[in-house]
Amino acid sequence: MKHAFYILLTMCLLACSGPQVPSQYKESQAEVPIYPDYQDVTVPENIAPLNFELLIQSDEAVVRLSAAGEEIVCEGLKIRPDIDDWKALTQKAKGDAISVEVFADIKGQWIRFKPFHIYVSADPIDPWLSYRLISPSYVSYEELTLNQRCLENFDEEAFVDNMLCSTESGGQCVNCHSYQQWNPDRMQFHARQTHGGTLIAYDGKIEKVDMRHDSLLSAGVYPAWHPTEKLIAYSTNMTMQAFHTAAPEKIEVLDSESDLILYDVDKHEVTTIEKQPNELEIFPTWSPDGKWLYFCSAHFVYQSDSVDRSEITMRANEVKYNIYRKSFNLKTRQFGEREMVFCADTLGKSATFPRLSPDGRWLLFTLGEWGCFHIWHHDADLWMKDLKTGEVRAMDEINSDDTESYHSWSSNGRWVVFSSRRYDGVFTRPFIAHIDAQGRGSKPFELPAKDPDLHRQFLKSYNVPELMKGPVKLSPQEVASKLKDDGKPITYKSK
Amino acid sequence: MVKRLLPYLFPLTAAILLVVLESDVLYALQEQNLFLHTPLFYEQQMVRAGGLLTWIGSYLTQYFYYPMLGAGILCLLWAFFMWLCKRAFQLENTWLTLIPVACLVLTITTLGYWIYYLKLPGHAFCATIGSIVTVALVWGYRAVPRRYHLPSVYIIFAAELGYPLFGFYGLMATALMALLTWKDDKRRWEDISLAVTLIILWPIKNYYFEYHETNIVNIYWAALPVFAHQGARFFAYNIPYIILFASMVLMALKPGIKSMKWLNVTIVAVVAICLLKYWNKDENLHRELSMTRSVEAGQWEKVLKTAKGVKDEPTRLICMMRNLALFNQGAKTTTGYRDGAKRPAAPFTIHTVHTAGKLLYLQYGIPNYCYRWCMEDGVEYGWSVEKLKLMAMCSILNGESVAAQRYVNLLKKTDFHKQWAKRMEAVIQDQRLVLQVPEFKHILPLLRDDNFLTADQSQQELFLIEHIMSTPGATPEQRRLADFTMNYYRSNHQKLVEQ
Repeated sequence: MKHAFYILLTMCLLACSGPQVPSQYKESQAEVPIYPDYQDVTVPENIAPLNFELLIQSDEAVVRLSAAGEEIVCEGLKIRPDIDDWKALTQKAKGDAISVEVFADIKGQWIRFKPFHIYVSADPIDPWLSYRLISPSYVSYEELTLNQRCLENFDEEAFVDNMLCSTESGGQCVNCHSYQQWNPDRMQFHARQTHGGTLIAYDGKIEKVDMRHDSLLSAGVYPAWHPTEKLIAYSTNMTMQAFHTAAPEKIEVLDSESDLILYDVDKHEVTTIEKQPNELEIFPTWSPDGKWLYFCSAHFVYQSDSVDRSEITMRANEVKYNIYRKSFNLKTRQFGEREMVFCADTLGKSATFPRLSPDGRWLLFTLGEWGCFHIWHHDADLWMKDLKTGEVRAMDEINSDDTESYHSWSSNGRWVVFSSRRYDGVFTRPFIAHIDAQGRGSKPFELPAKDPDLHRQFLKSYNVPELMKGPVKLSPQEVASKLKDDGKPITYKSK
Repeated sequence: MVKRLLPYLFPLTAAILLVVLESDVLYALQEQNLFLHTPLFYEQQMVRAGGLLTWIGSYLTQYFYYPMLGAGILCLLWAFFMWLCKRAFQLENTWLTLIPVACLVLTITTLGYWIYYLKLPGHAFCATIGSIVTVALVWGYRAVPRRYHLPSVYIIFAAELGYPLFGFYGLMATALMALLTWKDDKRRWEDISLAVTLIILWPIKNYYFEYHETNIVNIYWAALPVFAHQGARFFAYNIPYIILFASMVLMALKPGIKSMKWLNVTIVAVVAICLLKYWNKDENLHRELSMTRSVEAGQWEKVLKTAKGVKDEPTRLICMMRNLALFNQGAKTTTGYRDGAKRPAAPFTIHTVHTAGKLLYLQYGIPNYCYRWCMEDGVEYGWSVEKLKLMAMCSILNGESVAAQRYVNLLKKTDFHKQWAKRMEAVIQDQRLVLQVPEFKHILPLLRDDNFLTADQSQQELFLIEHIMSTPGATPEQRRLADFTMNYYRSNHQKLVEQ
């Protein structure tokens, strides 16, 4: 009996002792295949643990993460460090790197793969990320949510769920969430179809606005909050879809017409910013000082007498967007003439989604061969223009062979989050990259997940990733209840 | 003993009939279903009230891969349900339980084209499992000692656990408990009011604090199928469910109905007549399902044999599959086969892109459109084995190996499609094997490199014919395939437009 007790005690102690790094092993210079690829990435000091999976055939594996005398040892093929241990480790490694050693028992022989590093930047990232979870479908939709995720851990919750407003007789689409200056208390998004309208939340006040008007092409579409004023610039678009019979892009979303408008949140008043003939204006964005409105515009002349949707579909690859800007007078609320910022069409390309860094120096945008729907274009890449020197370059250190598209800056201008289809060409995942003072990016890392295999199983895309300083405090039920109200009509004021 | 077991012959007979008459329907049910052995799949089911029920339902639906096995499981569950009803409601006449079981059979055999459109995962088993849970909870309630407020505690337990895990069936159990309390001892009004309060408030509490995926107007019907399409609701399909729940109420209220020969014969006769009358006997649908299965398996002779046996005017889907088989068999004309454009027997418009049209797009050499409709329908009606398989094949043909691997990895997490997934995985790893895969043999000559930006407007056959005939890059093989439809197309263009 006594022996049995000691044996049991010994077994318990062994079980509690935690994984051990093997004392004898063979060195290998091979890089260990892991998913997600976190080898030599740079992460903010406040990021959640970078859980990853070893893509090797191994009976047993041990991973040691170490920095400045602190270490975490994990075992198994899925590496999931304890969050408190990870936080302690990243604090020690701040401004330096975590060394990652992978030991694997392969056919009875322990092997240590070539170690890699996870660089820990002292620049923190805004703690929350919001995105729309949507299946990469074409015209159908069912479950759509706007979710927010704490980047410091794995907490995730929906704050908008379209199913709460969907019925058997009509679905609801939600899209284009955006915030004023990363402030979760000042946000807006659109709902389409059942209970459609634009929901604007501003410091605790929630309002539903019906932005449809006879003088406008459509309700507001792509939004841009003015950094200081209660103003939102929107594009208005006559959007349509067509489908490729053989091209890998599969779907094309294009506008037959589009303009820019300005919405005054307090007055519920809309004015036109841009409505030029033969120009398709889209994707407005403000400079950080609010004195310039950047946007994209494509010059397109219909050969037929009027707007012809089939013609633009046939000639879709002739639609190429350039980046322009207009000055904005805060007092008079008047816009100046358009100025060219980046002429993409002379390069035979199309530029979309201009976004300025918070210091106003860097203009990050997406460049593809043509059109405005770069999220489905495998050639789409991120490019950067230095507005100080005028230098424009592809962000090769960030880009992949597949799609890079929607992107947004962190509030300190040291991080960008962007959508990429680099892993499979179908499902977009958020990637985060550090941008240094010279505008150089580091190797980006995929949004860490509690189960590192999540993003290989999950059949939804992360759409429009936007960083926030805190969580949105609305609940899906609160939002649904507001959406079921009638939207406040707008007044249209011609210039 | 034999006399007591006699009612249990009914589920056995129903299961045999299912296997004999509905083998293709059962197989299609599992093709339109998906169950993955992953924590993520479980978590995704559990975000709605009734999540555990749909998870179990999806799990069991897999067994229709072997229709006899799936039907056998159903048979055992129905027999168990009858036995449980007898115990829980203390029935004197087991024949009464034939009524709910007949309703359970009808929840499957009346579906028709709904097999493609119902959004409730695992619906073929949900009613059966949900009813078993309902009756089992009632039995538990009966067994609880009537002291220390234990019945009240049990009611709270049943509602609070039953609703999140089994949706409406948890509420139904709570309602039956209230009914039994009212029947047995009206003085226990506190239990009755507790049950009623929980039925009303518990779903509302769950709406505000637990789940955010169900519209408040639907919270009481969680885990029941919604027969709605294109903005219209089709109430008739709910009738088996209504009779099912009404029969449970009847059994709870009138357990003392004696077993009398005339009554038992009447029950059997009524049940048989109802089954006979409402069992979906649409010949075209059955042929479509059989032909779809044959096309998937590359059994072209069987496709033609099924097409040859058409007695009524066929649907266009039957003609399209027949044309494909004729093309693959090297035939020159459609002589000897009946042409037609009968509208599918459904209460709403059926577009082939939502049924077997996805498979046909692939077979006609346009994988992008097959992929598109798989994605559209996956999003709208739920993911299924069929869609994942097609998406894997489209991705392989498009050279999108990582995407193909993703779908193959998911299929490797199923019980019955692992082998198929492993076979495709070998092709992904060595693209040269594409030439040796039987599924691709007839598709490869139809693939085209030229690209058009266009749309089918859900009118698949019209699109296919016009696309092939109006684009210069169409291969001779494609034109030969389109020729099978051209005669019909010239004289019945309007009929095709209306499809």
